Amino acid sequence: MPLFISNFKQAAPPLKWLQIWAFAIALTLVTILCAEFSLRKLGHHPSIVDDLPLWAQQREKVQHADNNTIVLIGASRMQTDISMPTFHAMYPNKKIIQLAIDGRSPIATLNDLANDQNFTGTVLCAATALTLLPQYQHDQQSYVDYYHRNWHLNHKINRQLATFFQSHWVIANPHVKLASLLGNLVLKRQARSPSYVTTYADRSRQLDYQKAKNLIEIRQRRLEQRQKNANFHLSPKQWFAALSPIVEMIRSITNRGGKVVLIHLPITSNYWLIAEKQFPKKLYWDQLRLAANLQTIHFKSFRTLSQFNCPDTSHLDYRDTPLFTLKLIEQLVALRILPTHQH
Amino acid sequence: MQFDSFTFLIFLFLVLCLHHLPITWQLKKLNLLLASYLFYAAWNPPFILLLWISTAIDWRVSLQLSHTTAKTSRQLLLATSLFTNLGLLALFKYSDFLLHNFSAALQFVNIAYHPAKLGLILPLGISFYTFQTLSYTIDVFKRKTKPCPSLLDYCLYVSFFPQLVAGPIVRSTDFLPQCQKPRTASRHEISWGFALLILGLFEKSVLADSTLAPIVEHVFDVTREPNALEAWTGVLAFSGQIFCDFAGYSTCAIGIAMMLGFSLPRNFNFPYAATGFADFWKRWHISLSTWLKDYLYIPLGGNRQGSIRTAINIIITMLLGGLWHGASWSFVFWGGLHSLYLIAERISMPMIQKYALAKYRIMQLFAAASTFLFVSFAWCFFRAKTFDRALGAAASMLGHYPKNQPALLNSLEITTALIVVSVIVVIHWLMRYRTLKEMATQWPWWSTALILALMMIALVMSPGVEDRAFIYFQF
Repeated sequence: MPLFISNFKQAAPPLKWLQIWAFAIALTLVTILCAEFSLRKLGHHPSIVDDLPLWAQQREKVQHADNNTIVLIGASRMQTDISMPTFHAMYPNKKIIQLAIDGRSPIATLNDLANDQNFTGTVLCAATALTLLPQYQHDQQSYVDYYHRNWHLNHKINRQLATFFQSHWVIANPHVKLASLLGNLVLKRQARSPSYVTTYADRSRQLDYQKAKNLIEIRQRRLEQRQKNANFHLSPKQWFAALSPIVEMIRSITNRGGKVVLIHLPITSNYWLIAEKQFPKKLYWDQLRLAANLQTIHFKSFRTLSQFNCPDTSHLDYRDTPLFTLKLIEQLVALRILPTHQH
Repeated sequence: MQFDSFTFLIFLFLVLCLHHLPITWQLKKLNLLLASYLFYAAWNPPFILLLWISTAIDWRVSLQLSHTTAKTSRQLLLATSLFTNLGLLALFKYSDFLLHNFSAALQFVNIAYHPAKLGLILPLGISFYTFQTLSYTIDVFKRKTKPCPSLLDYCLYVSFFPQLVAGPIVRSTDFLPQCQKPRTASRHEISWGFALLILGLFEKSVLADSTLAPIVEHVFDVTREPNALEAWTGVLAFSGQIFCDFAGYSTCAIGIAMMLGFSLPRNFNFPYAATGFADFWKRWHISLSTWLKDYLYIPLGGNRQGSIRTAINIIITMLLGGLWHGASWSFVFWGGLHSLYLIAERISMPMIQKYALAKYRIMQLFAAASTFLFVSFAWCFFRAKTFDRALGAAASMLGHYPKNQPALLNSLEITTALIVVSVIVVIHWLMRYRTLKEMATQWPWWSTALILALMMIALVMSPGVEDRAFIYFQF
């Protein structure tokens, strides 16, 4: 029977709604406040959810960029190893935009900047001999596509509100989502430990390895992940030929007055051994400077950059990032990528 | 904008406040219409034009149909509507798929043709509002309903924001009469509507996104094949995810409409309690299955022209129903599987009825469990990113998978998926002949309050890691 002649209009049950909502809202508020208080006592902290809209929010800043803009692209190391407060303190008049994305090669973002004819800023691109290869060129494409196709006013407002909520409330941190808390209590009979990762609204990330309870497991997982790609091999000639699109992207930016420098951030221990065995620096990375005349910084080429330890073999502890950032800036100034610092 | 976003909560609050002001009914409807257009434009502003084109064409065609008696002219008018609406749908949704298959067919006869992909953005909800407007035009053509005299009412019918982008697909005979007289939501309807909104968001955000989606992704979004346990866990988790996601959206839509004084049809009736595939399609995405039955299956002849023709009609209907979901052979295959299920059921029905097997409780349980497992198996083709990946997962489910591979899922994920899905299935079984309203009426008030509080707490404490749109937004 059509709805309009059924008694569908009477579908709402006549319950004691005032009591129901009063009790439900009171219980919800009390529980949430208790959870927030308890989690803070246990050492948990707010952290921003690093999603597509957050990236797009940063990407939008590039639209209004000028020569004083520095764009950081790459994967997780670029997010964690660079201390944004240090960078800002050294260059208070520069706009520094974090577009690195955890676990993904930056080629698609580099291409996006290359195609943006208005962009004439400076790009610091964290990469490795592996992540520059064409098979990873689409890793960050979904983020680029989201920005160009879906980043509208509604999403901007929602992201601003979400950032406000996530920056002030621990319960908004996915590390302490209900399923994880309950899973820990049921299986491990203990409260969930605070995360050693904190993400900020500018998309920078801080790793506090003193909070990492299972550092050995984290190291092992990193090495296992890296080992999965270790059997892939290209000769130095094949590798360099495969990178020609990257070289074109970089030229596209530099030809219109921008600057691009490729940076290999520190990796240590077995992680370095695996990478160096697969793509020896002298035969691969160094070609970028020698054969293609690109601006590059490899941590192994500078004692001031290679002195740092990566607790998980692949990322710096946040306590080391201010000094690392200063040392990196020294090299960028030496290459004339950045001016002598303004501070 | 999505229901589970801050901006939507603010939008809804403002719309409700405006709707309950002491203004005329016409102004209230105009307010709802403008809010609906704003709601749709918030996703991608230029695509509001497509909605307007579809609305304008079908409004005009329907008015002309009411003035035209000549058979050929009426058929031409209907063809105009079908061509425009289905043409836009085909262009935006199926153009790359058609080009790709055309190119593949030409390659088969050694003709090289490699057209560039059009890469058109799929307008949100186009499959839903296209079917909705077509149902109106077809009903006017068949003289089942008269054209709506009010352009405002008709525009609101097409664009009503609670159900615009992911259903339920509403018939004009259900919605337009509700526009004729002022409707105000009672305090019971506002409260129950809000409760349904919370329930829908809980299903979507907590169960689908936060709990089940990560498990599904660990199985389906990796490059290697799962083992049998992982494949079944992934598929069962997806069964739970797609139900909670889609039914959650429909529940939100019904709740929001109720707060505005409107009634939308039920779209899910505890489908995982179905004791057969025909029963499943009477419980799953009811608005689509009835649309396909009324506008495709029955006009093809239904079951009135012998068993072979009935089987053909079922196959056509389910294949097109699968294609409606997406421009991919995987969806067509999924639809094809369901057509085989329905045909097999029809063939076996006389034997079941002959021995009165259905009356035994154990047989009902067996039928429900079998239906659920076969439906879940078919979901594999719905979820996998490519047809090859779907075949791989299906083979794993049947025991053919590479041995000695590292695990894709840990024991916590497997346990979580199986527990959550089991609870969903049990709830469906217990509720198969009941409604939420009946249950809520029987519970003490404090238990309703406790359930609402638990859902709200879970909602606040289940933040998403990724921006997960409702699954059916992609259709």
